[in-house]
Amino acid sequence: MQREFVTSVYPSFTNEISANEIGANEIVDDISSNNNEDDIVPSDPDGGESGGDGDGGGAADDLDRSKVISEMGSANVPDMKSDIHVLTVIGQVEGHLVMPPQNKTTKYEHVIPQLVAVEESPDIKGLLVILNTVGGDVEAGLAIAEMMASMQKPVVSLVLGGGHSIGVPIAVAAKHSMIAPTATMTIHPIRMTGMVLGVQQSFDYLERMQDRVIGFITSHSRIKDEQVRKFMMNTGELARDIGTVLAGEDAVKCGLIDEVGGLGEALACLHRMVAESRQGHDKNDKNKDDKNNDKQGHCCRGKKHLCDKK
Amino acid sequence: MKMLWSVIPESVVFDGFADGFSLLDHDVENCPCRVRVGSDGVCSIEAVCSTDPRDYLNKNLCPGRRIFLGK
Repeated sequence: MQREFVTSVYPSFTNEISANEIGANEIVDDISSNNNEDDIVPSDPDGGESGGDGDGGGAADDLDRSKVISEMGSANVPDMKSDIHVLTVIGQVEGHLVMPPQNKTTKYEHVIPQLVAVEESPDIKGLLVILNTVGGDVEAGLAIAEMMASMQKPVVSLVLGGGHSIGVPIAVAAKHSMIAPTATMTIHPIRMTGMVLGVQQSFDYLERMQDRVIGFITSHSRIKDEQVRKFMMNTGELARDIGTVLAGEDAVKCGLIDEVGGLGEALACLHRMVAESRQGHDKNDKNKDDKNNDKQGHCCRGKKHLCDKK
Repeated sequence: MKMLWSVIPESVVFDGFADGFSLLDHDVENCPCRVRVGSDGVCSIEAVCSTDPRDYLNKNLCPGRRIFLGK
């Protein structure tokens, strides 16, 4: 049994365009490139000029924009350049098995290289992870969480809606974690499906896996091991399962999450961390240069100066 | 054996798992991808199979993006 809560006033159109109109291998949602008379094409909010914020188009532009939103189900997002990368962890965290199509999934084989790219990219200064996940594959989730925790760049996580089960380690893996006041996080025991032998070894394996998860959570947050296990084995809260549902404030009080907040607070925190890390880098570079100059007389120890490559 | 830590019951998550679907390898924007073929002829990107990390930041190659394949 699965209940769905839908509050959208717009029909859920996908931005599909027929193959004849755009040809093979073309990405479907590029509505601005499709210039048929019958189609709705969003007007350029900047009047063809770049760098504007899209507010100067007047009533006609607003009308076009609202038409695009209502007819096509997509908003015309103004172009802007940001040094923050946003990673959304939604639906099920998909692991080694490809989920059936009714699931919304976050694929670990896509997220992990993406984290590498974020860490490597000089244009990206910080990572904002937005979670609204129901959980999923334990090993895939732990892999994502470990990758996030080992990143040098500032990472802030924001739990919106729900950050359940394996979403908990991913949320706490960030350098600073936040949760919306109405968001919830469910902590419950790990499950095993498929053919399970009813032997002690099966239970031991499950317990070891649970220990790994709990160990990660406790080492990346302020919550105590006993507290997590207590939440996990709570029998008085869920009707069809054992475990605990923590709402925004509760998650902060028990030390699982750092702060209650929303998008504004999360972005402000991330920008602050980026500025601090930049200052730290500048300071370290200066100290290193001074040290090397004192020792060797030259920062590159007689080798070709790195700046010469430019 | 599958190990899942999710609030959604396994019966819902894995409903239709045995039905199967076809995946094929295809280049999208010169990047090798694995594509899930839908029954209506519309395909969606299932996974990017590239060794270049920059491909994973390309918004056109996000998993779930719908594409049309040539005949």
